Amino acid sequence: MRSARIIRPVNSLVFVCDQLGGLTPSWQKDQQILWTDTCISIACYPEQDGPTEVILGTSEDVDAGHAPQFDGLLKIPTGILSVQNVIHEPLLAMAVSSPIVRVQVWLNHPRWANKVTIGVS
Amino acid sequence: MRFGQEHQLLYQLYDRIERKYSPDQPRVPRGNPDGGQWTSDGHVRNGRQDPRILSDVTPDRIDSGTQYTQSRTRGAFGRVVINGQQVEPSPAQQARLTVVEAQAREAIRRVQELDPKWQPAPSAYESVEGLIAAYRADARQARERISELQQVGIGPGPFAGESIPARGPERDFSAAERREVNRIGSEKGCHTCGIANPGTPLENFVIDHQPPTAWNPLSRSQRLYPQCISCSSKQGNWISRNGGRR
Repeated sequence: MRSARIIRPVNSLVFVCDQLGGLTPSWQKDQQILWTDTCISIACYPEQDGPTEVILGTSEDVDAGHAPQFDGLLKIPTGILSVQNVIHEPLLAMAVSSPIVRVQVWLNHPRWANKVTIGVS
Repeated sequence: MRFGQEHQLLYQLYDRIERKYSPDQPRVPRGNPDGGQWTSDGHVRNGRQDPRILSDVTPDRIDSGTQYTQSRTRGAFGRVVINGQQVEPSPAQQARLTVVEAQAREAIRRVQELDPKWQPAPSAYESVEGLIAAYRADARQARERISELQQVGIGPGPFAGESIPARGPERDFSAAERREVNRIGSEKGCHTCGIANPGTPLENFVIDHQPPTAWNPLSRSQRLYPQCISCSSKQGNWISRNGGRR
């Protein structure tokens, strides 16, 4: 299973969390990925410079073929994982079978990623 | 207008009362209960709505053309109730109360344009001087809140210079708007942190709506400012942490 969108998110940020939201991690300068146990924040390609492709699917289906930049557990109490923008509008979503899931994030560039791949298992 | 200038008349009044004497200031005519006391020069006219004051003296009705010498001479802070006791501030204290109350009200208004539910933490006081200090504390808290919001990109930042009007909340910027915001950014830097380098791969500044579209509770008209990628990210993080759109 795999879904994708090409977006220019406001503030060049997307968040991976339960559909009802999570605790957004505290901001840290120059950190591409930040996380709490309920929310992962991912910096996209700067919106005014170009779009970012965001891909969501099972890790098996979307594995980028290199070590992920993030690999951790995320609480999804409602069973619907959501990729959202800063105002919590859903961009992508997928059903998960467990209230705690393993999430992996691959970026295609260490600083200016214009392809963000989110794998769930 | 610089913050505080709008209270210039109040400052002047305060200064005059602190000096205790002004040759131009009228006095209550001899034979009246307040005979010999300074009368109001008319600059202190705002009422007081602070719930901490349990009962202000209500000024008598003023008829056009009537000479009057009643409690109005004490201004809006003729009497205040502190711990259940009626206290009569001195003229100097009344003037200071008027000034600090106006400053606090203005500072809180500025915060509430961006954060309507914000209120300063309540202060306890047991004297008129304590009440004055409480108003000062309110104003200080409001200024700190404004600064805190500015640091995260809510409201034009401390380095904000020129800006251009936004056509709307959308981000469908024209080439001309991009050029203009980049020009302002190259001259003035990021409006939030002042840095001259936008920190983006193509060296374009982020075009930042102010108030931010996601945080514009009063639907005020927006302007566009240059912002660096780091401050844009911080702003987005703060908006998300604070529940998204307002």
